[in-house]
Amino acid sequence: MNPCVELDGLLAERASGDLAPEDQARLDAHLPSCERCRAELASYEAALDLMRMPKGSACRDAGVPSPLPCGVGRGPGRGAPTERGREHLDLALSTLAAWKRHRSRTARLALGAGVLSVAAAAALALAPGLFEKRVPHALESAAPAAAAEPDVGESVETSALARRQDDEEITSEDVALAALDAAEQP
Amino acid sequence: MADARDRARARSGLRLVTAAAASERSDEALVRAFLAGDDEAFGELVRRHERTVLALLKRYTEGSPAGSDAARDLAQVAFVRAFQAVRRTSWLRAIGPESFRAWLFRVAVNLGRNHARDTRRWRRAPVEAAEAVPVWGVGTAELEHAERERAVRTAVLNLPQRQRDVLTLRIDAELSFREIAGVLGITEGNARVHFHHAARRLRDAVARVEGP
Ligand SMILES: [Zn+2]
Repeated sequence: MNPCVELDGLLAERASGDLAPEDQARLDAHLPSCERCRAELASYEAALDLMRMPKGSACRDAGVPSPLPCGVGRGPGRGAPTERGREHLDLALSTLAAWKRHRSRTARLALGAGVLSVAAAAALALAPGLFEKRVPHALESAAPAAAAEPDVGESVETSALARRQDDEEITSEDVALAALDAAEQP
Repeated sequence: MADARDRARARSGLRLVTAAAASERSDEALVRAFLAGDDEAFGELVRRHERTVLALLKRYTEGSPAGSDAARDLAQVAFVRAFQAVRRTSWLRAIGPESFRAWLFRVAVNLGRNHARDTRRWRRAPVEAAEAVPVWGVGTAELEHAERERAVRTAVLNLPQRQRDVLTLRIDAELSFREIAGVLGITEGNARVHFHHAARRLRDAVARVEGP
């Protein structure tokens, strides 16, 4: 096979900065003698740089001239944020506020559940795994509804969501939670 | 290591300024502090990762009607969910060090992916990236640059799902291919191959703008 075709993917990996050492050696052996692959490497680097380019208001607000990177897309540790706009602070604060509301709802619901039934508690003691698995899911799923309505009558609806994993689909409840939190910001 | 530093400083009697100390602590130290009720640690974790999380999410929300508002809303959901998971599970023991980031990014990618899928239900045409407006100059070079940048962003938005996941985790989150494999539950070789395809599409998008 044409070595250039075979090495093409490695050029892309190299342009991204994560090439396995053994592949690095292969490229190092090939590149000095192949103008075409050097040009390909350069075009991969250019394309990935364009992807990294800043966009949106954060950079503009910071007064960074458009073609210059301003930290968007740079990971922690490298190219740390060059500005801490209000937008970013707000995200931390609003997320913390959302979290606190979530915690207080959770506590309230848990308290209610505890008062409701000693028998249920005894049953749960017999099946602690069930309790741990299902109740927190139910509570987090119920959270947005709980903010809008009384706490009663949710168990049927939320039980279907109770087995949901964190990384599964975003539900309308999630969207509602986000929207509620946004609306509650002063 | 950060823990050791903190302890050493505490012993030496230096007063720790919370924010300064937080910025030097590892994610895991911050998670522990958060679990112990330290709101400052929570805020620091959000601040530390918000840019990356937003950058990831913008790869999925750009071109959708809600745009960057959607990215911000989803970022908040991602953080809350990551913290819920941390709190609920014996996460520190179960998953081990260095993975709060990976966990958070995984949640973010899944949220973004679902958002893109839901948006796409209402649309047939390929997604277009927002017009790139050069802010500081209107010369030919700036306009051409903006056009190339837009072509690349549009290409990202129209990548097959897996390719986009891998690409954004590599470029925006700067995860290694090995870490990406862990986040997405695929092999490292598979992650690299997805990246090859994605990078080729980006390169070709630029080439089309530049013409023959
Ligand atoms: Zn070659």
